[in-house]
Amino acid sequence: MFQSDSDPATTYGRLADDLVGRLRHLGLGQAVPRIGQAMPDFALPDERGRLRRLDEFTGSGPVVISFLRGRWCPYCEAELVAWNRTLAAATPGTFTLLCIVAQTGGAAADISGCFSAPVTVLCDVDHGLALELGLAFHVGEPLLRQMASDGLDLAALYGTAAGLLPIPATFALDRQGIVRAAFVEPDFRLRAEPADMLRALGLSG
Amino acid sequence: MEMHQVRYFIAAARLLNFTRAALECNVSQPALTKAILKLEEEFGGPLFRRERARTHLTELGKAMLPHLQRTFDAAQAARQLARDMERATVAPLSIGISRIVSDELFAPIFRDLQAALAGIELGVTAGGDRELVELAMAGSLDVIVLALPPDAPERFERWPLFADEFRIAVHAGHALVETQRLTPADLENEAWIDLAGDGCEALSRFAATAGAAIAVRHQAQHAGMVRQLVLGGLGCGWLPRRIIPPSLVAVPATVPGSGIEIVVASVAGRRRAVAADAFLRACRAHSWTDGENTAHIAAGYRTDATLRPSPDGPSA
Repeated sequence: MFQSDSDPATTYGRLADDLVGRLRHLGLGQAVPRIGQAMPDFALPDERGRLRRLDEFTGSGPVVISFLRGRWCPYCEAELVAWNRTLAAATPGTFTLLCIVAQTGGAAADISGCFSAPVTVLCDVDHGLALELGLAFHVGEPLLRQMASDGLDLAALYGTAAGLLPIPATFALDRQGIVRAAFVEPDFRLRAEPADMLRALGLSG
Repeated sequence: MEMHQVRYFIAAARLLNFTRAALECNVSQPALTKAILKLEEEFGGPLFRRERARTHLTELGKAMLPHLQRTFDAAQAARQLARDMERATVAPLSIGISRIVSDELFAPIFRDLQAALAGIELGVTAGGDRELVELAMAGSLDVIVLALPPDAPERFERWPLFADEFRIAVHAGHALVETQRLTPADLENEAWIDLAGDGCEALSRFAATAGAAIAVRHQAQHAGMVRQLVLGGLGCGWLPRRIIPPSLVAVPATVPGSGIEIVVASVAGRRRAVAADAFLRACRAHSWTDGENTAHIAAGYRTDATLRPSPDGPSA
Protein backbone atom coordinates (compact mmCIF):
# COMPACT_ATOMS: atom_id res chain seq x y z
CA MET A 1 0.00 0.00 0.00
CA PHE A 2 1.32 3.43 -0.80
CA GLN A 3 0.12 6.68 0.64
CA SER A 4 0.12 9.99 -1.19
CA ASP A 5 0.88 13.20 0.64
CA SER A 6 -2.03 14.88 2.32
CA ASP A 7 -2.06 17.98 4.43
CA PRO A 8 -4.44 17.50 7.34
CA ALA A 9 -4.30 21.21 8.08
CA THR A 10 -6.18 22.08 4.92
CA THR A 11 -9.94 22.22 4.64
CA TYR A 12 -9.88 19.23 2.36
CA GLY A 13 -7.81 17.25 4.80
CA ARG A 14 -10.37 17.92 7.52
CA LEU A 15 -13.36 17.24 5.29
CA ALA A 16 -11.71 14.09 3.99
CA ASP A 17 -10.99 12.86 7.53
CA ASP A 18 -14.64 13.50 8.46
CA LEU A 19 -15.85 11.67 5.39
CA VAL A 20 -13.57 8.69 5.94
CA GLY A 21 -14.68 8.51 9.58
CA ARG A 22 -18.31 8.55 8.48
CA LEU A 23 -17.75 5.82 5.86
CA ARG A 24 -15.96 3.61 8.36
CA HIS A 25 -18.72 4.12 10.90
CA LEU A 26 -21.31 3.15 8.27
CA GLY A 27 -19.30 0.04 7.51
CA LEU A 28 -19.18 0.79 3.79
CA GLY A 29 -17.31 -1.45 1.42
CA GLN A 30 -18.08 -4.64 3.30
CA ALA A 31 -20.51 -6.08 0.74
CA VAL A 32 -17.90 -6.71 -1.95
CA PRO A 33 -17.15 -10.26 -3.12
CA ARG A 34 -14.68 -11.91 -0.73
CA ILE A 35 -11.49 -13.71 -1.64
CA GLY A 36 -12.48 -17.02 -3.21
CA GLN A 37 -15.86 -15.70 -4.39
CA ALA A 38 -16.70 -14.91 -8.00
CA MET A 39 -17.01 -11.35 -9.25
CA PRO A 40 -20.49 -11.13 -10.82
CA ASP A 41 -20.41 -10.68 -14.59
CA PHE A 42 -21.39 -7.21 -15.83
CA ALA A 43 -21.39 -5.19 -19.04
CA LEU A 44 -20.37 -1.55 -19.25
CA PRO A 45 -19.36 0.75 -22.12
CA ASP A 46 -15.63 1.17 -22.65
CA GLU A 47 -13.72 4.32 -23.56
CA ARG A 48 -15.07 4.12 -27.11
CA GLY A 49 -18.64 3.47 -26.02
CA ARG A 50 -18.49 -0.26 -26.82
CA LEU A 51 -20.25 -2.51 -24.36
CA ARG A 52 -17.77 -4.93 -22.85
CA ARG A 53 -18.37 -7.86 -20.54
CA LEU A 54 -16.11 -8.81 -17.67
CA ASP A 55 -16.11 -12.39 -18.99
CA GLU A 56 -14.41 -11.22 -22.20
CA PHE A 57 -11.42 -10.13 -20.17
CA THR A 58 -11.17 -12.95 -17.65
CA GLY A 59 -11.52 -15.34 -20.60
CA SER A 60 -8.08 -14.34 -21.78
CA GLY A 61 -6.23 -14.28 -18.47
CA PRO A 62 -6.12 -12.76 -14.99
CA VAL A 63 -7.64 -9.31 -14.57
CA VAL A 64 -7.03 -6.48 -12.14
CA ILE A 65 -10.07 -4.20 -11.75
CA SER A 66 -9.56 -0.76 -10.30
CA PHE A 67 -12.44 1.55 -9.42
CA LEU A 68 -11.29 5.13 -9.83
CA ARG A 69 -12.93 8.45 -9.01
CA GLY A 70 -11.46 10.34 -11.95
CA ARG A 71 -8.46 12.36 -13.00
CA TRP A 72 -9.69 15.35 -11.02
CA CYS A 73 -8.64 13.34 -7.95
CA PRO A 74 -4.91 13.63 -7.20
CA TYR A 75 -4.86 10.21 -5.51
CA CYS A 76 -6.30 8.62 -8.62
CA GLU A 77 -3.64 10.36 -10.68
CA ALA A 78 -1.00 8.88 -8.38
CA GLU A 79 -2.57 5.46 -8.73
CA LEU A 80 -2.60 5.76 -12.54
CA VAL A 81 1.11 6.58 -12.47
CA ALA A 82 1.81 3.55 -10.28
CA TRP A 83 -0.10 1.22 -12.61
CA ASN A 84 1.50 2.70 -15.68
CA ARG A 85 4.90 1.93 -14.21
CA THR A 86 3.78 -1.59 -13.30
CA LEU A 87 2.44 -2.25 -16.80
CA ALA A 88 5.65 -1.00 -18.38
CA ALA A 89 7.67 -3.45 -16.26
CA ALA A 90 5.32 -6.44 -16.73
CA THR A 91 5.54 -8.97 -19.55
CA PRO A 92 2.83 -7.90 -22.01
CA GLY A 93 -0.24 -10.13 -21.95
CA THR A 94 0.30 -11.62 -18.48
CA PHE A 95 -2.69 -9.76 -17.04
CA THR A 96 -5.29 -7.19 -18.04
CA LEU A 97 -5.76 -3.94 -16.13
CA LEU A 98 -9.37 -2.83 -16.26
CA CYS A 99 -10.09 0.64 -14.91
CA ILE A 100 -13.65 1.59 -14.02
CA VAL A 101 -14.69 5.19 -13.73
CA ALA A 102 -18.17 6.68 -13.37
CA GLN A 103 -17.22 10.01 -14.89
CA THR A 104 -18.98 10.46 -18.24
CA GLY A 105 -18.34 12.59 -21.33
CA GLY A 106 -15.13 11.01 -22.57
CA ALA A 107 -13.36 10.71 -19.19
CA ALA A 108 -12.82 7.01 -19.86
CA ALA A 109 -10.97 7.82 -23.09
CA ASP A 110 -8.94 10.44 -21.26
CA ILE A 111 -7.87 7.94 -18.60
CA SER A 112 -7.11 5.31 -21.22
CA GLY A 113 -4.82 7.84 -22.86
CA CYS A 114 -2.75 8.12 -19.66
CA PHE A 115 -1.20 4.70 -20.19
CA SER A 116 1.69 3.86 -22.45
CA ALA A 117 0.22 0.35 -22.92
CA PRO A 118 -3.36 -0.14 -24.17
CA VAL A 119 -5.70 -0.19 -21.16
CA THR A 120 -9.48 -0.59 -21.28
CA VAL A 121 -11.40 1.89 -19.17
CA LEU A 122 -15.05 1.12 -18.52
CA CYS A 123 -17.58 3.80 -17.76
CA ASP A 124 -19.80 2.95 -14.78
CA VAL A 125 -22.59 5.28 -15.87
CA ASP A 126 -24.66 6.42 -12.84
CA HIS A 127 -22.47 4.34 -10.46
CA GLY A 128 -24.56 1.24 -11.11
CA LEU A 129 -21.79 -1.32 -10.73
CA ALA A 130 -20.42 0.53 -7.71
CA LEU A 131 -23.87 0.26 -6.10
CA GLU A 132 -24.10 -3.42 -6.96
CA LEU A 133 -20.80 -4.01 -5.16
CA GLY A 134 -21.70 -1.73 -2.27
CA LEU A 135 -18.97 0.76 -3.16
CA ALA A 136 -21.14 3.81 -3.92
CA PHE A 137 -21.62 6.39 -1.20
CA HIS A 138 -23.13 9.82 -0.83
CA VAL A 139 -20.42 12.46 -0.55
CA GLY A 140 -22.44 14.62 1.85
CA GLU A 141 -23.36 18.27 1.65
CA PRO A 142 -20.30 19.85 3.35
CA LEU A 143 -17.79 18.28 0.97
CA LEU A 144 -20.07 18.79 -2.07
CA ARG A 145 -20.36 22.49 -1.16
CA GLN A 146 -16.60 22.82 -0.72
CA MET A 147 -15.95 21.08 -4.04
CA ALA A 148 -18.52 23.26 -5.82
CA SER A 149 -16.99 26.45 -4.41
CA ASP A 150 -13.61 25.29 -5.72
CA GLY A 151 -15.07 24.76 -9.16
CA LEU A 152 -15.35 20.98 -8.94
CA ASP A 153 -18.86 20.26 -10.16
CA LEU A 154 -19.51 16.55 -9.56
CA ALA A 155 -22.91 16.77 -11.27
CA ALA A 156 -21.27 17.97 -14.47
CA LEU A 157 -18.41 15.46 -14.26
CA TYR A 158 -20.63 12.45 -13.64
CA GLY A 159 -23.71 13.54 -15.59
CA THR A 160 -25.87 13.12 -12.50
CA ALA A 161 -26.64 15.33 -9.51
CA ALA A 162 -26.84 12.34 -7.18
CA GLY A 163 -23.68 13.39 -5.29
CA LEU A 164 -22.33 9.86 -5.28
CA LEU A 165 -18.76 8.62 -5.55
CA PRO A 166 -17.30 5.13 -5.43
CA ILE A 167 -14.91 3.93 -2.76
CA PRO A 168 -11.73 3.36 -4.77
CA ALA A 169 -11.28 -0.39 -4.75
CA THR A 170 -9.00 -2.85 -6.50
CA PHE A 171 -9.69 -6.51 -7.18
CA ALA A 172 -7.38 -9.18 -8.59
CA LEU A 173 -9.35 -11.86 -10.47
CA ASP A 174 -8.08 -15.14 -11.82
CA ARG A 175 -9.20 -16.38 -15.22
CA GLN A 176 -12.31 -17.96 -13.68
CA GLY A 177 -13.31 -14.52 -12.38
CA ILE A 178 -12.61 -15.56 -8.76
CA VAL A 179 -11.37 -12.80 -6.45
CA ARG A 180 -7.78 -13.56 -5.40
CA ALA A 181 -7.08 -10.22 -3.72
CA ALA A 182 -9.26 -7.26 -2.80
CA PHE A 183 -8.29 -3.82 -1.59
CA VAL A 184 -11.37 -1.93 -0.44
CA GLU A 185 -10.50 1.09 1.65
CA PRO A 186 -12.95 3.84 2.63
CA ASP A 187 -9.97 6.21 2.96
CA PHE A 188 -9.72 7.24 -0.69
CA ARG A 189 -6.18 8.50 -0.10
CA LEU A 190 -4.95 4.93 0.26
CA ARG A 191 -4.69 2.71 -2.80
CA ALA A 192 -3.70 -0.85 -3.56
CA GLU A 193 -0.06 -1.57 -4.17
CA PRO A 194 0.11 -2.96 -7.73
CA ALA A 195 2.79 -5.50 -6.74
CA ASP A 196 0.46 -6.99 -4.07
CA MET A 197 -2.25 -7.52 -6.67
CA LEU A 198 0.12 -9.21 -9.10
CA ARG A 199 1.56 -11.44 -6.37
CA ALA A 200 -1.96 -12.63 -5.51
CA LEU A 201 -2.30 -13.70 -9.13
CA GLY A 202 0.96 -15.61 -9.02
CA LEU A 203 2.69 -12.99 -11.15
CA SER A 204 5.85 -11.23 -10.05
CA GLY A 205 5.21 -7.58 -9.35
CA MET B 1 -24.88 2.21 0.44
CA GLU B 2 -25.92 -1.23 -0.59
CA MET B 3 -28.16 -2.55 -3.32
CA HIS B 4 -30.80 -3.95 -0.95
CA GLN B 5 -31.06 -0.68 0.99
CA VAL B 6 -31.78 1.18 -2.23
CA ARG B 7 -34.26 -1.46 -3.35
CA TYR B 8 -36.18 -1.18 -0.08
CA PHE B 9 -36.11 2.61 -0.24
CA ILE B 10 -37.53 2.64 -3.77
CA ALA B 11 -40.31 0.21 -2.83
CA ALA B 12 -41.19 2.17 0.32
CA ALA B 13 -41.15 5.46 -1.62
CA ARG B 14 -43.54 4.02 -4.19
CA LEU B 15 -45.95 2.36 -1.76
CA LEU B 16 -45.59 4.91 1.09
CA ASN B 17 -46.19 2.04 3.46
CA PHE B 18 -43.38 0.14 5.20
CA THR B 19 -45.48 -2.96 5.86
CA ARG B 20 -46.44 -3.36 2.22
CA ALA B 21 -42.95 -2.47 1.04
CA ALA B 22 -41.51 -5.21 3.28
CA LEU B 23 -43.99 -7.71 1.86
CA GLU B 24 -43.13 -6.72 -1.69
CA CYS B 25 -39.39 -6.99 -1.01
CA ASN B 26 -39.87 -10.29 0.74
CA VAL B 27 -38.23 -9.20 4.02
CA SER B 28 -39.43 -8.59 7.54
CA GLN B 29 -40.52 -5.06 8.33
CA PRO B 30 -37.80 -4.57 10.98
CA ALA B 31 -35.19 -5.55 8.37
CA LEU B 32 -36.60 -3.04 5.90
CA THR B 33 -36.78 -0.32 8.52
CA LYS B 34 -33.22 -1.00 9.62
CA ALA B 35 -31.92 -0.79 6.05
CA ILE B 36 -33.70 2.51 5.48
CA LEU B 37 -32.38 3.91 8.77
CA LYS B 38 -28.89 3.03 7.59
CA LEU B 39 -29.51 4.86 4.33
CA GLU B 40 -30.84 7.87 6.26
CA GLU B 41 -27.66 7.86 8.34
CA GLU B 42 -25.58 7.95 5.15
CA PHE B 43 -27.61 10.79 3.64
CA GLY B 44 -27.51 12.72 6.90
CA GLY B 45 -31.26 13.09 7.42
CA PRO B 46 -34.63 11.32 7.36
CA LEU B 47 -35.91 10.17 3.96
CA PHE B 48 -39.42 9.47 5.28
CA ARG B 49 -41.74 11.24 7.67
CA ARG B 50 -44.13 8.88 9.41
CA GLU B 51 -47.31 10.39 10.81
CA ARG B 52 -49.92 8.14 12.36
CA ALA B 53 -51.33 6.11 9.46
CA ARG B 54 -49.45 7.90 6.71
CA THR B 55 -45.90 7.81 5.48
CA HIS B 56 -44.49 10.66 3.38
CA LEU B 57 -41.20 11.28 1.65
CA THR B 58 -39.26 14.18 3.17
CA GLU B 59 -37.75 16.84 0.91
CA LEU B 60 -34.46 14.94 1.10
CA GLY B 61 -36.27 11.72 0.23
CA LYS B 62 -37.96 13.37 -2.73
CA ALA B 63 -34.66 14.82 -3.91
CA MET B 64 -32.80 11.52 -3.65
CA LEU B 65 -35.48 9.23 -5.10
CA PRO B 66 -34.83 9.91 -8.82
CA HIS B 67 -31.05 9.66 -8.29
CA LEU B 68 -31.23 6.40 -6.39
CA GLN B 69 -33.74 5.00 -8.87
CA ARG B 70 -31.34 5.84 -11.69
CA THR B 71 -28.36 4.27 -9.94
CA PHE B 72 -30.45 1.20 -9.11
CA ASP B 73 -31.53 0.91 -12.75
CA ALA B 74 -27.90 1.26 -13.83
CA ALA B 75 -26.89 -1.58 -11.53
CA GLN B 76 -29.60 -3.82 -12.93
CA ALA B 77 -28.72 -2.83 -16.49
CA ALA B 78 -25.03 -3.68 -16.01
CA ARG B 79 -26.08 -7.19 -14.98
CA GLN B 80 -28.93 -7.63 -17.44
CA LEU B 81 -26.78 -6.43 -20.34
CA ALA B 82 -24.12 -9.00 -19.55
CA ARG B 83 -26.76 -11.75 -19.61
CA ASP B 84 -28.46 -10.51 -22.78
CA MET B 85 -25.20 -10.06 -24.64
CA GLU B 86 -24.43 -13.65 -23.92
CA ARG B 87 -27.81 -14.81 -25.15
CA ALA B 88 -27.86 -12.44 -28.13
CA THR B 89 -31.63 -12.15 -27.93
CA VAL B 90 -33.62 -9.95 -30.30
CA ALA B 91 -33.19 -6.39 -29.10
CA PRO B 92 -35.40 -3.85 -30.85
CA LEU B 93 -34.49 -0.18 -30.48
CA SER B 94 -36.27 2.90 -31.85
CA ILE B 95 -34.25 6.07 -31.64
CA GLY B 96 -34.96 9.57 -32.86
CA ILE B 97 -32.17 11.85 -33.97
CA SER B 98 -32.92 15.51 -34.42
CA ARG B 99 -32.13 17.03 -37.76
CA ILE B 100 -30.00 19.64 -36.02
CA VAL B 101 -27.63 16.89 -34.80
CA SER B 102 -24.97 15.62 -37.15
CA ASP B 103 -25.72 12.10 -38.33
CA GLU B 104 -22.00 11.59 -38.88
CA LEU B 105 -21.38 11.06 -35.18
CA PHE B 106 -23.25 7.84 -34.62
CA ALA B 107 -21.46 5.24 -36.71
CA PRO B 108 -19.01 4.19 -33.96
CA ILE B 109 -21.84 3.89 -31.45
CA PHE B 110 -24.00 1.83 -33.81
CA ARG B 111 -21.08 -0.37 -34.78
CA ASP B 112 -20.31 -1.13 -31.18
CA LEU B 113 -23.95 -1.61 -30.26
CA GLN B 114 -24.19 -4.27 -32.94
CA ALA B 115 -21.00 -5.90 -31.71
CA ALA B 116 -22.37 -6.02 -28.18
CA LEU B 117 -25.96 -7.01 -28.97
CA ALA B 118 -25.96 -9.29 -31.97
CA GLY B 119 -29.78 -9.28 -31.97
CA ILE B 120 -30.13 -5.53 -32.29
CA GLU B 121 -32.90 -4.32 -34.61
CA LEU B 122 -32.55 -0.61 -35.07
CA GLY B 123 -35.14 1.91 -36.22
CA VAL B 124 -33.84 5.44 -36.69
CA THR B 125 -36.24 8.35 -37.11
CA ALA B 126 -35.09 11.82 -38.11
CA GLY B 127 -37.21 14.82 -37.28
CA GLY B 128 -37.62 18.18 -35.64
CA ASP B 129 -37.11 18.48 -31.89
CA ARG B 130 -40.80 18.94 -31.05
CA GLU B 131 -41.82 16.09 -33.30
CA LEU B 132 -39.35 13.73 -31.60
CA VAL B 133 -40.58 14.77 -28.16
CA GLU B 134 -44.14 13.87 -29.17
CA LEU B 135 -43.11 10.52 -30.63
CA ALA B 136 -41.16 9.69 -27.47
CA MET B 137 -44.09 10.68 -25.24
CA ALA B 138 -46.37 8.49 -27.37
CA GLY B 139 -44.01 5.56 -26.83
CA SER B 140 -42.94 5.27 -30.48
CA LEU B 141 -39.33 6.19 -29.71
CA ASP B 142 -37.23 4.72 -26.90
CA VAL B 143 -34.44 7.29 -26.87
CA ILE B 144 -34.06 10.67 -28.57
CA VAL B 145 -31.01 12.85 -29.30
CA LEU B 146 -31.90 16.50 -29.67
CA ALA B 147 -31.94 19.97 -28.14
CA LEU B 148 -34.92 19.63 -25.79
CA PRO B 149 -37.33 22.52 -26.35
CA PRO B 150 -37.77 24.63 -23.18
CA ASP B 151 -41.41 23.57 -22.98
CA ALA B 152 -40.65 19.83 -23.19
CA PRO B 153 -42.47 17.82 -20.49
CA GLU B 154 -40.68 17.46 -17.15
CA ARG B 155 -40.92 13.72 -17.54
CA PHE B 156 -37.84 13.55 -19.75
CA GLU B 157 -34.66 12.30 -18.21
CA ARG B 158 -31.86 14.05 -20.04
CA TRP B 159 -28.10 13.79 -20.19
CA PRO B 160 -26.05 16.50 -21.92
CA LEU B 161 -23.79 15.32 -24.75
CA PHE B 162 -22.31 18.49 -26.19
CA ALA B 163 -22.92 22.18 -26.72
CA ASP B 164 -23.45 23.79 -30.08
CA GLU B 165 -24.43 27.18 -31.38
CA PHE B 166 -26.61 28.33 -34.27
CA ARG B 167 -24.69 30.28 -36.89
CA ILE B 168 -25.41 31.89 -40.21
CA ALA B 169 -24.24 29.72 -43.12
CA VAL B 170 -23.49 31.27 -46.49
CA HIS B 171 -21.71 30.27 -49.68
CA ALA B 172 -18.11 31.32 -50.16
CA GLY B 173 -18.98 34.21 -52.46
CA HIS B 174 -21.56 35.77 -50.17
CA ALA B 175 -21.30 39.37 -48.94
CA LEU B 176 -21.61 38.33 -45.26
CA VAL B 177 -18.80 35.80 -45.46
CA GLU B 178 -16.34 37.77 -43.34
CA THR B 179 -18.82 39.79 -41.33
CA GLN B 180 -17.83 40.20 -37.70
CA ARG B 181 -20.81 42.34 -36.65
CA LEU B 182 -24.30 42.09 -38.05
CA THR B 183 -26.28 45.25 -38.79
CA PRO B 184 -30.09 45.40 -38.87
CA ALA B 185 -29.77 45.94 -42.64
CA ASP B 186 -27.73 42.71 -42.99
CA LEU B 187 -30.57 40.80 -41.33
CA GLU B 188 -33.38 42.47 -43.25
CA ASN B 189 -31.78 42.21 -46.69
CA GLU B 190 -31.55 38.43 -46.55
CA ALA B 191 -34.01 35.65 -47.06
CA TRP B 192 -33.56 33.08 -44.25
CA ILE B 193 -33.68 29.31 -44.44
CA ASP B 194 -35.05 27.55 -41.38
CA LEU B 195 -33.87 24.05 -40.51
CA ALA B 196 -34.87 23.60 -36.86
CA GLY B 197 -38.54 24.29 -37.56
CA ASP B 198 -38.73 27.15 -35.06
CA GLY B 199 -38.73 29.99 -37.60
CA CYS B 200 -35.07 30.86 -36.85
CA GLU B 201 -36.23 31.87 -33.38
CA ALA B 202 -32.93 33.02 -31.82
CA LEU B 203 -32.03 35.03 -34.91
CA SER B 204 -35.49 36.56 -35.04
CA ARG B 205 -35.27 37.56 -31.37
CA PHE B 206 -31.84 39.09 -31.92
CA ALA B 207 -33.11 41.00 -34.96
CA ALA B 208 -36.03 42.36 -32.92
CA THR B 209 -33.64 43.77 -30.30
CA ALA B 210 -31.80 45.54 -33.13
CA GLY B 211 -35.11 46.91 -34.41
CA ALA B 212 -35.18 44.66 -37.45
CA ALA B 213 -37.56 41.97 -38.67
CA ILE B 214 -36.28 38.95 -40.55
CA ALA B 215 -38.02 37.15 -43.38
CA VAL B 216 -37.92 33.37 -42.93
CA ARG B 217 -38.80 32.40 -46.48
CA HIS B 218 -37.60 28.84 -46.83
CA GLN B 219 -37.78 25.69 -44.82
CA ALA B 220 -35.61 22.57 -45.17
CA GLN B 221 -35.77 19.27 -43.34
CA HIS B 222 -32.15 18.33 -43.73
CA ALA B 223 -28.81 20.15 -43.48
CA GLY B 224 -27.90 18.88 -46.97
CA MET B 225 -30.98 20.58 -48.39
CA VAL B 226 -30.10 23.83 -46.60
CA ARG B 227 -26.82 23.60 -48.45
CA GLN B 228 -28.61 23.20 -51.78
CA LEU B 229 -30.82 26.21 -51.07
CA VAL B 230 -27.84 28.34 -50.01
CA LEU B 231 -25.75 27.30 -53.01
CA GLY B 232 -28.79 27.97 -55.20
CA GLY B 233 -28.69 31.53 -53.95
CA LEU B 234 -32.07 31.47 -52.21
CA GLY B 235 -30.83 32.87 -48.93
CA CYS B 236 -28.74 32.28 -45.81
CA GLY B 237 -28.97 29.17 -43.66
CA TRP B 238 -29.46 29.26 -39.87
CA LEU B 239 -28.20 26.04 -38.36
CA PRO B 240 -25.90 24.67 -35.65
CA ARG B 241 -22.21 25.18 -36.33
CA ARG B 242 -21.41 21.46 -36.12
CA ILE B 243 -23.73 20.55 -38.97
CA ILE B 244 -22.91 23.40 -41.34
CA PRO B 245 -22.17 21.36 -44.48
CA PRO B 246 -18.78 21.40 -46.16
CA SER B 247 -18.68 24.04 -48.92
CA LEU B 248 -20.70 26.45 -46.81
CA VAL B 249 -19.09 28.96 -44.49
CA ALA B 250 -20.17 29.91 -40.98
CA VAL B 251 -20.29 33.71 -40.78
CA PRO B 252 -17.88 34.83 -38.04
CA ALA B 253 -20.47 37.09 -36.40
CA THR B 254 -22.27 35.27 -33.60
CA VAL B 255 -25.76 35.93 -32.31
CA PRO B 256 -26.42 36.10 -28.56
CA GLY B 257 -28.82 33.46 -27.28
CA SER B 258 -28.08 31.02 -30.09
CA GLY B 259 -26.35 28.40 -27.94
CA ILE B 260 -27.96 24.99 -27.63
CA GLU B 261 -27.27 21.86 -25.64
CA ILE B 262 -27.63 18.53 -27.38
CA VAL B 263 -28.87 15.87 -24.98
CA VAL B 264 -29.80 12.23 -25.06
CA ALA B 265 -33.20 11.83 -23.43
CA SER B 266 -35.85 9.28 -22.64
CA VAL B 267 -39.17 9.38 -20.85
CA ALA B 268 -38.66 8.84 -17.12
CA GLY B 269 -40.40 6.08 -15.26
CA ARG B 270 -40.72 3.71 -18.20
CA ARG B 271 -38.94 0.40 -18.18
CA ARG B 272 -36.20 0.77 -20.78
CA ALA B 273 -35.41 -2.18 -23.00
CA VAL B 274 -31.91 -3.54 -22.87
CA ALA B 275 -30.91 -2.06 -26.24
CA ALA B 276 -32.21 1.39 -25.29
CA ASP B 277 -30.19 1.22 -22.11
CA ALA B 278 -27.08 0.14 -23.99
CA PHE B 279 -27.47 2.99 -26.49
CA LEU B 280 -28.03 5.54 -23.76
CA ARG B 281 -25.01 4.45 -21.80
CA ALA B 282 -22.82 4.30 -24.91
CA CYS B 283 -23.86 7.87 -25.79
CA ARG B 284 -22.98 9.07 -22.33
CA ALA B 285 -19.62 7.30 -22.16
CA HIS B 286 -18.65 8.53 -25.64
CA SER B 287 -16.55 11.63 -26.11
CA TRP B 288 -18.51 14.08 -28.27
CA THR B 289 -16.04 16.89 -28.29
CA ASP B 290 -12.47 15.75 -28.68
CA GLY B 291 -10.48 13.20 -30.64
CA GLU B 292 -11.93 11.81 -33.85
CA ASN B 293 -14.99 13.97 -33.98
CA THR B 294 -13.19 17.27 -33.73
CA ALA B 295 -10.64 16.12 -36.27
CA HIS B 296 -13.45 15.09 -38.54
CA ILE B 297 -15.21 18.42 -38.17
CA ALA B 298 -12.02 20.38 -38.54
CA ALA B 299 -11.21 18.50 -41.73
CA GLY B 300 -14.64 18.71 -43.28
CA TYR B 301 -16.28 21.87 -42.05
CA ARG B 302 -15.19 25.41 -42.69
CA THR B 303 -16.18 27.25 -39.61
CA ASP B 304 -13.18 29.53 -39.39
CA ALA B 305 -13.09 33.10 -40.59
CA THR B 306 -10.29 32.41 -43.07
CA LEU B 307 -11.92 31.82 -46.37
CA ARG B 308 -10.79 29.24 -48.85
CA PRO B 309 -12.35 29.02 -52.29
CA SER B 310 -15.02 26.38 -52.37
CA PRO B 311 -14.71 23.75 -55.09
CA ASP B 312 -18.42 23.30 -55.65
CA GLY B 313 -19.88 26.61 -54.51
CA PRO B 314 -20.69 29.54 -56.77
CA SER B 315 -17.57 31.45 -57.83
CA ALA B 316 -16.83 34.55 -55.80
